[in-house]
Amino acid sequence: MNSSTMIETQGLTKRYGAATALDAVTMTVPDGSIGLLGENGAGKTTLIKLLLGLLIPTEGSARVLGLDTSRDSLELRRRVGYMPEDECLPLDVTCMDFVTRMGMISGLPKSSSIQRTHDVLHLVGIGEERFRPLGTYSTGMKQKAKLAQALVHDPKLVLLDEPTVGMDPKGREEMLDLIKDIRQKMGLKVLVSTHLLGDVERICDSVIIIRGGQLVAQGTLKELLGELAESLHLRVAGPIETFVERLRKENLKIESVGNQLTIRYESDAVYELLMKTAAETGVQIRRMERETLTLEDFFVKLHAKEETDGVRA
Amino acid sequence: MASAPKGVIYDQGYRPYDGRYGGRNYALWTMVWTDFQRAFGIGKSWKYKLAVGLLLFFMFLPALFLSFVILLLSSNAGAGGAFIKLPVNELLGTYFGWTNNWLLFLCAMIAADQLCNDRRYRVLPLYLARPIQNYDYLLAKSLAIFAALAIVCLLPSFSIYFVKFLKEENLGQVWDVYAQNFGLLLLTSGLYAVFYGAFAMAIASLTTSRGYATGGTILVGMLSGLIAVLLYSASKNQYTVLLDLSSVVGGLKNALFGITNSSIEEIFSPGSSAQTANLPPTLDPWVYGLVYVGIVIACISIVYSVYKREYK
Repeated sequence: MNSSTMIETQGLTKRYGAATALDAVTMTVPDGSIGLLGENGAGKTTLIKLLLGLLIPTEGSARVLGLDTSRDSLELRRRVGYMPEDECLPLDVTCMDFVTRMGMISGLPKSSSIQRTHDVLHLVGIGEERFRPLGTYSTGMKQKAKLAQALVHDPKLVLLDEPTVGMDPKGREEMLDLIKDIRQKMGLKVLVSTHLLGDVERICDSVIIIRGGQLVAQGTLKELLGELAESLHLRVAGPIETFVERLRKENLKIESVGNQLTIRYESDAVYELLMKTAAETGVQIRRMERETLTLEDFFVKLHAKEETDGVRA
Repeated sequence: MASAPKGVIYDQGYRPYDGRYGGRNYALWTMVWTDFQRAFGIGKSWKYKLAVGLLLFFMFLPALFLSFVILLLSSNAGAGGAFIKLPVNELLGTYFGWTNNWLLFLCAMIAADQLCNDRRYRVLPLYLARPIQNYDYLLAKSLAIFAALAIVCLLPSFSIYFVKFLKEENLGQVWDVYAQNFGLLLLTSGLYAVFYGAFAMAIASLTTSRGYATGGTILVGMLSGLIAVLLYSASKNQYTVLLDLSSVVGGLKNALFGITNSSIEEIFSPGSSAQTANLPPTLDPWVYGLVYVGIVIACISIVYSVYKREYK
């Protein structure tokens, strides 16, 4: 495991009786801001608990920040901050008291814990409300308090489980900005588990996708979206077949349905080629639109591929 | 040289922590200390503070009265007067009988507050994500509850000693007379604290509602006495006394102090005011001890099994 590797797993498996929650996941995750994507029940939370050393793997092993999750779980949890998905705050305690206490349990002396609690609450945007019981907080503020307790002991890596769940659009924007700051200004490593693709696109450098407990894809957004990342949609009139044939001879990948063409975009040179070919073949380009594919499209394609494979099988 | 502009607040940005971190023991004692403080209402609502305050007042009331009597007797003896020896065993034994009733209320409140809320609000994952072992959380809660109850048992009796010490000129003599009782006092306080603490924790671990947990603990504690009385009246079986929780720990206490005055036995006693039931022969101390250990182990097992599910 080299210094720029954040997480490394080897055949990581977790079974609960006959049910397999995580099935032989092997991956090497580089430093940075990583999105852990998957549908509900895909095994995201199980993976996070295994990475925190809270669960013992049935098979395989995992290393986080160079520490074995089974052997060095206490040292690991001192270096990692965890923000769970569920509501998990004691509603009868003030935010200040709770975060301070969490800091102390992580090993901070009382005075340092109080100091850092003030710092992180300021950072996440909780002002004088910090002296109010958590039961009086809105959903957005509770999420911020959960984030603050994950940061109070100055971890090197923060694991955020569905950080924007239940938040209104404004709160969601604030939370995503905060997570960006955690990575960019505080320099911490971040693993965000979510099923919201838009969140991942906004804050993550790379993505891990799991489904049914299995790793189905891993890489940077660019790598995952790959050649499908961008395409041009055209509506044309005239001798379409000749036009398509000429473009294919120029090694362009084209899908045509009637007068609708989809052409892979590689560089701006493709525009010039299209215009030139259209002029030479007498085709009129009536509409041209450049489309950037999102993770949602990637998921749709992944689903479609799986269904096709299933039918073939 | 340009001077720094005035009235500017500098954002120092994020400051990493570069101090030392405490280990697992530090985390454990942090939890014990904060839970211990919360048991007495520190950081809690005024309603909780008031309830705990009232219970403590009733527990301390006889001790205050006795302290006043000691002061009065000492004053009447005058300077250089004779040393007044207190009937310590009877006094403290009886005092634990009084404490017993209030202790049931207090342990019900404290255990419900310590265990129910965290499970109700599902706070456990946040604790478990800290550098502690899985069962450190439960260990800390248990230690805090036991310590709080032990102190509450110990302090009223100890305050009587304290006043006695203050009023006597010859402290050595007082120490010689009462030294052996100190150990007894500590032991009995510990026995009561562990017994009632484990019992209340077992009930509290079965529900996430503080109200149900508090009410359940008090109800089971009181019903156990009633059932024991009814069964004894019907069967005249001396072992029915063991169904009464206060008689189990009381029997052990009486064996230690060498007296017989647990509340249930007073009801049964032919010499008591009721005079309606025959006093069952006092059971051997080992019987009380065995039942005591059995109940404590059963209660701890219940708590453990509930939290084992929570940890999954």
